[in-house]
Amino acid sequence: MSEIINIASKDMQLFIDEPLRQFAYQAVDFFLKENDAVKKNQLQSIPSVINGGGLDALKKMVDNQREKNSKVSNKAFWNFLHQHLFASEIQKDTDCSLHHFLRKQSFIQPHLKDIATAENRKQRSQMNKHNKNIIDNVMKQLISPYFEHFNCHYFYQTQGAA
Amino acid sequence: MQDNTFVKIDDKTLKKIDVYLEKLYEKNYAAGKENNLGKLMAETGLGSTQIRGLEQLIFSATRFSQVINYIKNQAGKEKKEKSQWTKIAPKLINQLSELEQEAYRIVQNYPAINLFSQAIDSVNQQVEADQTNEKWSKMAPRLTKQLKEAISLLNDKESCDPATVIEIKMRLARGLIKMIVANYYYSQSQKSIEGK
Repeated sequence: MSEIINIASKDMQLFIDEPLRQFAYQAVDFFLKENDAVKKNQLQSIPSVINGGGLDALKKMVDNQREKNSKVSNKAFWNFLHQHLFASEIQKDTDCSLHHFLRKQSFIQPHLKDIATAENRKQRSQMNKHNKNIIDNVMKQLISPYFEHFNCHYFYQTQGAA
Repeated sequence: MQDNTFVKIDDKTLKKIDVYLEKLYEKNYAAGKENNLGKLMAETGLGSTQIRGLEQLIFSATRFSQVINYIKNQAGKEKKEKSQWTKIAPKLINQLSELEQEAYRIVQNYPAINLFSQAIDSVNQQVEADQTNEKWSKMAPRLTKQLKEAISLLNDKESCDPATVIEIKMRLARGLIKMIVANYYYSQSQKSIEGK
């Protein structure tokens, strides 16, 4: 059973207020620099999906949107979100991945196991699983404020657009 | 999600917050100042419902980012032809960002940092003046190192108590929004007097 990091503390509130906000803003700026802006309605359902079913529901929605969208710009947006939020499940973390960003945080690092100390493949796999559970748990708790930052900054950066 | 622990701010810090808000008033909100956002809000025709919304938010928000996100959201959803929040948002976000920096300056103990810096200078001067004193020359580098470590601890954002930082940021933000709201209503009344 993995440890659970409680994000209700004041430490976490400050983390949500500053580093997490800055990271969400950077992600939006990065997307808009590399891609055409999508209409706001693409983002508007994200908070309610998170409120209803959390990170799992968001993952389902992102996957569904990636598959069903035929418009190139929309597809690019949902592909970006997929990479940004769930990259660790499919490939090595990238700098732009939320997973990677959380892994670097000082309040998470003491809870993670050092893979380099694994004595065999089985132990390495157990450690990886343990670390993934820790990050996933934090992500589940932070995903709602994360998208508060993400959406508001997106709307602000695309002012005047539909 | 919010922790309900009551955060007690000491009198000295409260005084620092008040002093900063006074300076901010002099800089941006005293008569005739260009950055008076309350006046700008009235001039752009922003309705009082919008102002009340901002006022309510500032007293119910538990995080500073909720205020910034609200402003970004208002500007983001505004229709192109309206251009009210669009004009105000960059300036307001700028003033709020200054408050965020100031919160750390208030928490970090600047008089102590200055005192430690002066102590380092004194140590260096003493070493220069009395180079023959072997004991002193041996001790000085260790003392300087410890003083520098104390300064870096005081300068480190992570060493600040998060609950205090959030509380100070919110108090500063409430102070700023109160100034804006008061100036908005004053400018509105001036406008109606001029219109008569």
